[in-house]
Amino acid sequence: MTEESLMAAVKQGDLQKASLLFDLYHRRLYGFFTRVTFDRELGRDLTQNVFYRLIRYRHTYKEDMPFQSWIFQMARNVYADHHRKNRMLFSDFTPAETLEEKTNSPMEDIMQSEKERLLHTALSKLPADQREILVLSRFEQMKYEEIARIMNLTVANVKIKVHRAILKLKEIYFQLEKC
Amino acid sequence: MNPDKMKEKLIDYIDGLLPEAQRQEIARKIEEEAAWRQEYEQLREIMYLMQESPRPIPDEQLKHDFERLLQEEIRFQQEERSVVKTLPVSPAYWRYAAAVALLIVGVLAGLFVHKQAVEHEKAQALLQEREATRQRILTSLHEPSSASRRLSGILASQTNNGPDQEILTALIRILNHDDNTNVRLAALQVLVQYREEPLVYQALLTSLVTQDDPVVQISLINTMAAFKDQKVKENLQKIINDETVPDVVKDEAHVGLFQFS
Repeated sequence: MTEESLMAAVKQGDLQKASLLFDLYHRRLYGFFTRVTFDRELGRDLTQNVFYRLIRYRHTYKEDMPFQSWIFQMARNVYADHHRKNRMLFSDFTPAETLEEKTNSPMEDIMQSEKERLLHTALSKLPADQREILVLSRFEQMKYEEIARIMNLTVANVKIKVHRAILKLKEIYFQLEKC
Repeated sequence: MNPDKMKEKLIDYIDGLLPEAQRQEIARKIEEEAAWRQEYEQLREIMYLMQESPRPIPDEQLKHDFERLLQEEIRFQQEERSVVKTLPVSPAYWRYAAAVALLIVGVLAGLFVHKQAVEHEKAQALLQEREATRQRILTSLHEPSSASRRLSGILASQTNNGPDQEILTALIRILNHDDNTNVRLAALQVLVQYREEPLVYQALLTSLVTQDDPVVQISLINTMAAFKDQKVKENLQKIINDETVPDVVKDEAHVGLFQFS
């Protein structure tokens, strides 16, 4: 069964199929959230929230839409809600120094080399929107077309944004390396 | 080629997205010009690092929590179906059966009485089943240690013929006091559907002003401004005048008020 037919079955009331979709996507979503927030606990909560919404809003799924686009759109909404909350509670969303502190503990297992650590520190210093699009494009290795569908942008626009984010990340990374 | 354009081409070059002629042009630049060679090597390194970065792996608890949420939802769904199945229906078959029953009712009064007893028993069973579901929903809503159980209870509260006063009261408590923003927002979504209930509408009006979670307060503002109710307008004004309210919430209240003009 395709992901789309699994989701169509969930929509029709065969909820057990949601378990298969969870198996297919929870690691990717957890990776997405953990990389944009640098917080494992939060990554778990946000991932759980996406699947809650998948069940809650199953009737809104349109069968002609790729499931990946639909679930990542929900993931972005969940992240945007979280982002908005943090922007309200703090003067800006997740200050870079806070992220930098986070990169030193909960992500140990994926930062096995100094370069890896430097990469995540540089990533933490990017604006949230650039970090998000890089995670989708380069860490999750989604095509520009897929990201365009998820973000409701043109492919050309996505490509420009990804390029700018890569160039910015490179600049920060090699500045950090000099220090 | 200007430097910005060249940098973009370098990324496409590394991605293998350039047509052959452009690919050769970029390759030549990299080979001939040290500055572009360095730019290329740095970009290649950073892009390689991102591509090869290991994905963080969640612990088993995530799967466990999801399965619990799912099984509760499935159980609620099955209970709802069984309630629907046992509800009285009126297809043609039953109308004919009723006509036949009317013909023989006079001579089979004893059986009629017996049937009444059976129906009463069925109705009692139905009521008991509904009550059991209702109790399970209430238990989930009051589960302090698990946000996913509370979410599951909120999800289920719309089944079982909709929430009664006790469930609505529990949802109102969640809206105002739950530790988890997502759980509060889920309760709000359900409560808004039942705003015709005076208890609910009054609670929403009160929460609009007293809500201590800014995300939920903004969601309340956005939702309730659309009601175009004078009381909502007054409460939005109170939010704007309250010095303790964060600016971002006040901004939303201003936007909400704008909808009244």
